[in-house]
Amino acid sequence: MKNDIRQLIHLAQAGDSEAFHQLVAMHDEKIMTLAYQLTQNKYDAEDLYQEVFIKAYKHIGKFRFQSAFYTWLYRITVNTFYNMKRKQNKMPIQEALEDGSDPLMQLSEEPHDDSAKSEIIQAVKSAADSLPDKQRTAFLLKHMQQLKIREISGIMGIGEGTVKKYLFRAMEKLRTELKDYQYV
Amino acid sequence: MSNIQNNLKEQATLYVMDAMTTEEKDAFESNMESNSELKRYVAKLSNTLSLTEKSLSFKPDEALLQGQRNLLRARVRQMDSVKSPAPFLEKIQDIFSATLSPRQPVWAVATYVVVAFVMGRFLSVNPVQDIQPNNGFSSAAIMGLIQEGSLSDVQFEKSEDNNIRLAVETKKNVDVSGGSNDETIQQILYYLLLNDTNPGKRLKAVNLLENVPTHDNKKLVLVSSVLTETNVGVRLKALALLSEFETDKTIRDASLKILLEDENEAVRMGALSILANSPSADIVPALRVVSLMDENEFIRERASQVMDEISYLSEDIAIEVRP
Repeated sequence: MKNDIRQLIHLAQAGDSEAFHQLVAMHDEKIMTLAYQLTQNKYDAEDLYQEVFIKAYKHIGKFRFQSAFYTWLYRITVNTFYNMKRKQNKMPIQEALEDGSDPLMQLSEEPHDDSAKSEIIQAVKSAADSLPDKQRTAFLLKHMQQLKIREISGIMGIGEGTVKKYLFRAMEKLRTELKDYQYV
Repeated sequence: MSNIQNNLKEQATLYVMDAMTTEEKDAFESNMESNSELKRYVAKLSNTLSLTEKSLSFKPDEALLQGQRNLLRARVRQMDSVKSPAPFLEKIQDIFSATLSPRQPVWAVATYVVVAFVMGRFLSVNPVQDIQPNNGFSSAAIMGLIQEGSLSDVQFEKSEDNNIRLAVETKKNVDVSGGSNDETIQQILYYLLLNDTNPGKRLKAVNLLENVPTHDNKKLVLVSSVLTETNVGVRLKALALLSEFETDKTIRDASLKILLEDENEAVRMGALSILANSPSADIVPALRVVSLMDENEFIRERASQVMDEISYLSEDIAIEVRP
């Protein structure tokens, strides 16, 4: 698998767009998942997905095999997300459907017949949204994407100690925000 | 809970997030055994993690991913086509002056081409001498056959050199070969492109026209082809060859008509590329329509981009018409 990916990267770097699309198909589920978890919005997640892979296509020649290809894609995703956020902060955008009718959101949710579950889901999303971007990114990469601290450090371009600090602060805030839903 | 020091809380976070080495984990667990408050804190963290995992988990379905992959493919194709513009488009600027009135509408151009062909307008140039008709047929005789529309069943033959070799069936079989500069060969190719009923032969003819030098006759035949051709492959190739000409009023009108009316997305995109390479203010209204109405998202997006790129042109017009 590793050799396959390496070969595809070499081909893509030589201008073989079909090889690039094969790389996309091998990695895009994770990127779309992260994009959705970062943006919590179907439309922004799709935009982010497209921007990430367009950037990857443009810059694949600069990939030097010093990291795994997927962590390189994660790094592009995170940086592109920060840029998107910066632009959105300057220019108000259409928010995600506020009635919770986002069709993608529904895919990940339990059926709506249990209002208590829905309330918990909303509370968690709200708590996660309230985290500063970097804490939330570190938390999502660690907890939802199951990456190692070293990988997160590389993706976010920060030291491993800083990643641990972000995780600690994120967990503290989530624990506090969600204390009403604890069963312990 | 407040009795737990921050460094222990940080360790607890790493512990529940499975971010400790085996040694660190063992040490933390033995610490936890003797510290019930820490144990409760870890339980709360685990519970928090469990809540977030359930609520934030998301798995995109295959249909969503496939849609995004298709979109990406189209965007990459579009980027690649922008990266490689017609190579000598700029070099041939100023070589061709408009042979048709710049005000001539596009339908008139097409009619002109067809009528001119029938009238033998293209045949008025003296044949180049290095044409090699066999079987005793002269170039003039072949040209006469073309004028009469008497050619049938033209066959593309293999040639050992770089020449184009065509076998033409008339009352008497004719085998003719020559370079892409040969007038007779050019006329036969034009004839085939506009008249042959076999799309495969029309495609071969248009492919061979690639090597024919750019001149007005070739341009008019290509314009006629892109407007009347039924085969998408032939239209696309003719459009690609047309993009090598300087975009004058004739080509611009034809491109606009294609952009607004052609049923094939790739052909419309090709026409849009020609217009984008040589923009003028008079294409803005059509671009506006396309940016709103075209059924293809990329064409709509590209039309908007082109409009943005040439917005300075329409601003100039606005200033000019202001009372």
